[in-house]
Amino acid sequence: MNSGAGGFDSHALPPSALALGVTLRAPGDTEIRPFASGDEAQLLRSFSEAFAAVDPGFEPWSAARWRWQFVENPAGVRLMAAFGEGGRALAQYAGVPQRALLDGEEVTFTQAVGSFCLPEARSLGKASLFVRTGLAYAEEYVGPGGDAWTWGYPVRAAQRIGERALGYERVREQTMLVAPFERVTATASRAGALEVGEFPEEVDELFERLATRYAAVCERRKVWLDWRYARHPEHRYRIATASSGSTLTGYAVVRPMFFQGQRRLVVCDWWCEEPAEGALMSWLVDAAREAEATELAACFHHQSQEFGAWQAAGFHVAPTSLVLSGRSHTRRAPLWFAPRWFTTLGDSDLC
Amino acid sequence: MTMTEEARYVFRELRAEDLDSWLETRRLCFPEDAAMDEEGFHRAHTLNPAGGRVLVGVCGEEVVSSYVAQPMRVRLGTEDVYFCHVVDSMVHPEHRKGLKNPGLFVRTAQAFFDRFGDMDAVHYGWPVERAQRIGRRFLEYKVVREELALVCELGPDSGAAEGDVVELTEAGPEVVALWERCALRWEASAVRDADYLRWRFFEHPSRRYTVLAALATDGSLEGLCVVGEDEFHAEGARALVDWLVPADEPEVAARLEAAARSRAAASGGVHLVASLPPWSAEFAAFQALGWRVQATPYSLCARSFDRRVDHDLLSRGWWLTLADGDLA
Repeated sequence: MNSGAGGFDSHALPPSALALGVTLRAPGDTEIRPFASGDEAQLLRSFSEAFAAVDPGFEPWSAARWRWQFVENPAGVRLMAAFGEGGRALAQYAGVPQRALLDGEEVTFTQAVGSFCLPEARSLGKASLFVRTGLAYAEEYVGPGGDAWTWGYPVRAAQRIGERALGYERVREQTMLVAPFERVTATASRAGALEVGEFPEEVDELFERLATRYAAVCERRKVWLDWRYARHPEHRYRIATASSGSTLTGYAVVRPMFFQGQRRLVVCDWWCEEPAEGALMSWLVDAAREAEATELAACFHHQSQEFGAWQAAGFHVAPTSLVLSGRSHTRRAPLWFAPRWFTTLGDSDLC
Repeated sequence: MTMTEEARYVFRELRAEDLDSWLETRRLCFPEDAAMDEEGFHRAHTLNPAGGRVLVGVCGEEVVSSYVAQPMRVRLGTEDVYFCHVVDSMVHPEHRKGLKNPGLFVRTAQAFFDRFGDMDAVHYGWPVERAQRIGRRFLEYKVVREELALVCELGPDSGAAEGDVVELTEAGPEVVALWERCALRWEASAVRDADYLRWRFFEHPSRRYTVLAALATDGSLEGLCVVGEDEFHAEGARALVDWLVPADEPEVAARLEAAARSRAAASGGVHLVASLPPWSAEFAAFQALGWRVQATPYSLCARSFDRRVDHDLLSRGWWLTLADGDLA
């Protein structure tokens, strides 16, 4: 989602909490505070107004989708908002938190999404209301003991603003692995694939078993996965597991969608003992055929085993328009994350 | 820091009488590298047809720090500007604690930018992670992208019959004409002309290159590539250092790629490695020819001094191969 000429975008990153030093009180009756129950209707109304004004293709969100995205996330709420007269929501700084392991330590990564400032509020006070809302967000969620890593895939205009004013740094130019489904060759596997509606309990153990491969990885436990994929109020994902005997060895999540200029079957998530698990790769091909998607696409980090194994299975590497950017709130610089952070597209809100 | 410590160092361009000291400091700073001699220095920094950029920090008569770049003449739209590849930047081990916040390295770099920044559009390089930290914190360098390598395995039967692909030992004006045809697709690219090829490949004092040319039936130049004959970062690896084939000539590309593989295999290579921009048609075409993409430990970092050159242009419009660096 992109607010385009509006000046910021849904993936704006918050200023550093260390930048605080300004008074957060806004002029007039404006109040900046964290989300509270009862704010939903005002926030959704302004959210729709802000994004519709700058994105002709914007499709209004249902109340269910809004609640799912910002309130029902099992990892918590990251939403700071500025309210004006009559409780009208004038600005929002928000994110999607996700529990993560960072060098084995449990922390929170947050993808910055859904931030906006209504045009009528952009000139309130010395520092813009948007910036002051962002500063309040940083104080609430990002300071010492808060989120370890804030990240996103900002659109081009926001990237420039973000690098100049908000501390964005480029982490990687995201590539994708892409293949016509006829070109994909699945290796022989002892595992069997099974399509499921929700994730099995064993997925927690699978996550813990494989997470040690990575210095940084967002958690893929049942409670998160069910929220992210099985309970999405609008998108319908297909989920398959791979098991060898009674042991869960992997899972895949897909959704046919328009991605990078073409309708593709997008592999939203992939978490497998075998980086190109043959049973799931065969299931992907069948799913692409059934969805009448001519191509499969997935995004991994370049150092992952999947990056090489999927090429061996017939995928080619292609550029995307996505630039992964982030701001670190630990001693690790953003560039530290590039080779070490396992990501799939489903870690973001882009699929 | 005291004024006395500050006053110990003078920052200026390298003078002829500094060279021995510069070479000795380089030897101390890069003990794992082959020592550079005077000829090597001149070859790298004064015989470059695009010029040289050497800034030093001097303590007494000793060169104790240096920030150095190799300029490339780059076509940007219809204008030629300079992109500078930062190389051989260093601080004498005994002076690394001499200045604080910023240290001697950063001060040398800042003096370099003051001296040369208005002459150059871009400074770039592939710094190690520690240097990246300094670069982003003090010198306004930004990551353009993580570099990816295209790799192809070579077997005893690698490469088809070379046909009308010949080895060049010198180049003439036909090279720049070929480059101009290719460069129509690129927003920025270092000019490949006869002078550049002579300096970069034909007369390189320590590295061996084979310059392969695909010729049309009338003998005109259709495509050109450069294979490094030396080991490239791994046992048995050879580098496809440069590649210049118009994108609408897939047959020429296939012929030249086969010849490059053949040449690399003949020199004992078991892998051939290239670095081409991921946005380019060539990046896709090489994969269609069987090359695989691998991660590398390198990130391309750059600082722009020209408002026309933003990071979008650098990441999605700048044609860059191994020839634009010093790794191969």
